Amino acid sequence: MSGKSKLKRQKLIRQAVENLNHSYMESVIESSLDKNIQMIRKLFEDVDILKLKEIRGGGKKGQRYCLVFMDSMVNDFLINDDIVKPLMLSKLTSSGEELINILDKQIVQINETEKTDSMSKIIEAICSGDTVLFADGAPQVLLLNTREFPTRQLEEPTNEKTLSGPKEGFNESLSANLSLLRRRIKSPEFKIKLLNIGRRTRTKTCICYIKGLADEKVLDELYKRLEKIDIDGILDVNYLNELIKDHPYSLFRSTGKTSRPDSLAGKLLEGRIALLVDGSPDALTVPYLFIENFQSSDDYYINFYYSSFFRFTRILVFIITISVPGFYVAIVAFNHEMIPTQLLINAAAERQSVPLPAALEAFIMLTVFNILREAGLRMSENIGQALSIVGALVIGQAAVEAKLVAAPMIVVIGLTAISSLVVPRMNSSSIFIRLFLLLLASCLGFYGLVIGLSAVLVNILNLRSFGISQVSPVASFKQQNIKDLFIRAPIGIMKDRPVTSVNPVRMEIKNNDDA
Amino acid sequence: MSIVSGMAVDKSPDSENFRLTFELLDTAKPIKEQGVDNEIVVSEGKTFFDAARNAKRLLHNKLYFGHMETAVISEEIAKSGALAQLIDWFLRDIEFRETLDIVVAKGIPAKEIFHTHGISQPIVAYEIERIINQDSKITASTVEKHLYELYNELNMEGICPVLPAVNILTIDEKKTCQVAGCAVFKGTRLAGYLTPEETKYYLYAVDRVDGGLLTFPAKGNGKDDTTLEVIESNTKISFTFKKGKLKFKLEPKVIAFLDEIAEPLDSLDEQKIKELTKNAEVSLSSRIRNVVKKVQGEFGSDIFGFGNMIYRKDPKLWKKLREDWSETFSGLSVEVSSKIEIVTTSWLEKKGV
Repeated sequence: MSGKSKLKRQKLIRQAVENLNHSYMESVIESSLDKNIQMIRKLFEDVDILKLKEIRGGGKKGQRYCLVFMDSMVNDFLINDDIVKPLMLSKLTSSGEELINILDKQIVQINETEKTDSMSKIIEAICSGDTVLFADGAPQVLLLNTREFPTRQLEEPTNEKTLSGPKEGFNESLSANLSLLRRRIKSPEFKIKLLNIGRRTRTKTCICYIKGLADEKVLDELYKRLEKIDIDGILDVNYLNELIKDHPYSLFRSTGKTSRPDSLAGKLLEGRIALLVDGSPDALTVPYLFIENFQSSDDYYINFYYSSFFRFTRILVFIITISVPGFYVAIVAFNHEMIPTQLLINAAAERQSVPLPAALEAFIMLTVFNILREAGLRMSENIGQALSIVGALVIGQAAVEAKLVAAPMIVVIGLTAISSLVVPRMNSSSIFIRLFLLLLASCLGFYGLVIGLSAVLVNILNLRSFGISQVSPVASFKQQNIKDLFIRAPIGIMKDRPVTSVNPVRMEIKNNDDA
Repeated sequence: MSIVSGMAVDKSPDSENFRLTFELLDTAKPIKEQGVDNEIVVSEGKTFFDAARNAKRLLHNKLYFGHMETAVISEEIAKSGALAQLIDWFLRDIEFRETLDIVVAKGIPAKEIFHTHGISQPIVAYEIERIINQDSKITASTVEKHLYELYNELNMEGICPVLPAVNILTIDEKKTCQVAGCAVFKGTRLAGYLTPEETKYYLYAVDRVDGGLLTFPAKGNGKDDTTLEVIESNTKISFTFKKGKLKFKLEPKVIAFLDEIAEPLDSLDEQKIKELTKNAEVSLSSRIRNVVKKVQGEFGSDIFGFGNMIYRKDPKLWKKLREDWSETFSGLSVEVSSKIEIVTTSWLEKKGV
């Protein structure tokens, strides 16, 4: 097919899709119940779990109603006792809008109701587990909250484990997540705005922030970016992440991600804005600082000396994990004068008996390590034991004894592997940075390693997130920013909020010595 | 790569070529059992670099000099002035460390040094380097000269270099090398040797003492029977030029412990201690003076750096003197007045009541 006609065909398809969506998005219900039921049946043709229940009220008029709901998502008891029963016992004579009003306020015994005449809203409601009440002769319908569907029990999130402190994690239900948050921040300034994003999925997303602490400019920017999104469906918060973040092709994050309510509440109190999505247990936070990659929520729940020490360690370990393979190759292949003689003798002796040059060996071992890691992630628990033995024995012991790989290389790669597990959030970036530095070190030795590290540093310094530079607390080095940067100062000392908030004063410390 | 730990420089006996002997670290044998062994490789060439490259004709790997610590030169090379050419090669080539030690083999061909056995570990070059390195604090019997220091001294005004000297000691048919004083150079040519004892007093004259021992007769004459352990030493060197006469004054100031004495001394007896100190000072001053005289008389080379000092403090005077500095130096009058402070004698009361 030639290029031009291919484009034309694509345009036609797109037009047809638009029309399809357009047709029910804009339509409005009619007053006639039969016509409405026909419309619903046509729209939800081949959706066998959609249920329609026709009810007749009592009295002289015998008002006709119809309940529309999805079978597996509703609370049957609620429908039976609080909707069907009162409707059947009712004896209404009014019509039109008044009818709906009376139903809403006097007959139907449901706490959350909404009046609407828009078909798109009705469809959304049915698909969310609401029951829609059609009344013959009424120009509007009533949406009744009867949702009940299975959700996962609240568990500790697997990739954000902490030593002490709360162990609740978000689950996939937005309402459950919001309840966890709301209970932690009880002030009316904690705002929650709901949106629907995604043409086909109409996913409920939620923007949370604390008014007065969050920067209005960041909020506006966030709304602007969300409005620009035109996508089929949002299945996970990462879809949103990739559509709104500052550096879509960078190795590093521009938005924060957490699945712990306590951690999210902490970030909200620092003036950040959170994005939650129905169906995903993770929450995004903006704006993002680079140092957040190395922070863990349990820094606040344990002794501050201990947590300060571990913060330092995490940063150091990150540097170790990206530069050690390159460093080792640089020493063994290029700059032999950098190490003490005894060490060089050992390294040279090992290298005599090994077939491959150091750089190639390092690449191969890194690949093997990545394979092991992926296998460990995805394997079932039954073969876990056997596989770890195979991994350790075969790759570690046997490879060295068969002189395929030099023993110091195993040590180096082992160190890299363990180090990469300390800061799991950086894992996705560190794999590539490590390869890049290894490549440079293999070509240019220490010089290459230093060039590579400088390039990475410059890249990090240029990162931005929603209007602020990601390294601004390090760059400006104001006293307050240091207290939560590489160390964790005691909570009594952290009087001001960090740079992400417009309202700097966190607390007024009442001095016990006064009065 | 073949790691070179030490190199010996000789003149080839049958031609004009230089013969280099390399001590290599043998990485082929497993290390865990015995520790590293050494291998000797010899090669010849018209120039030093030529000889080094020629070694590849019989080696699997190229020579790697990044960890070479010692270069031993033979008397013949030292006397011929080829030292300058050797240093030039060392400095131009990237691989050599500027901190490597250059050592003169006294009375034997340089390659013999690498046919000895190190006592504590098999690599001779590292043994020599360690002995020289730690000498200043323990025996003060030789001078340590790194390559860059040697180069500096050869190019400075009014100073001649001194290099450590090694020779071979045979114990029960086993040969090991030992450090034996130093070699005195005039310019780039060897002028002579100083014994370890003489080297010690030379070190006092140039203020390079970090430790070591001083022995002297307690009563002022006879055999040395007292030992002082030197803790700190500073020598103040000054000169005066009056009426066309140049006079140098050396004032060593030493802080020491009393460690050994033939007749027991009552340590609380101040008079006795003062007498002892005075005898030590006299002994030290006279011995330093003797060494200076020997150097002036026998070698005529200014290894004390007197000329350099004049150059730095009074350049105009140096301009006048530098032409005939050798002769001037030989006739220089040097005064030595030492001061020793015995800080502790380690006994609190008289022994054997």
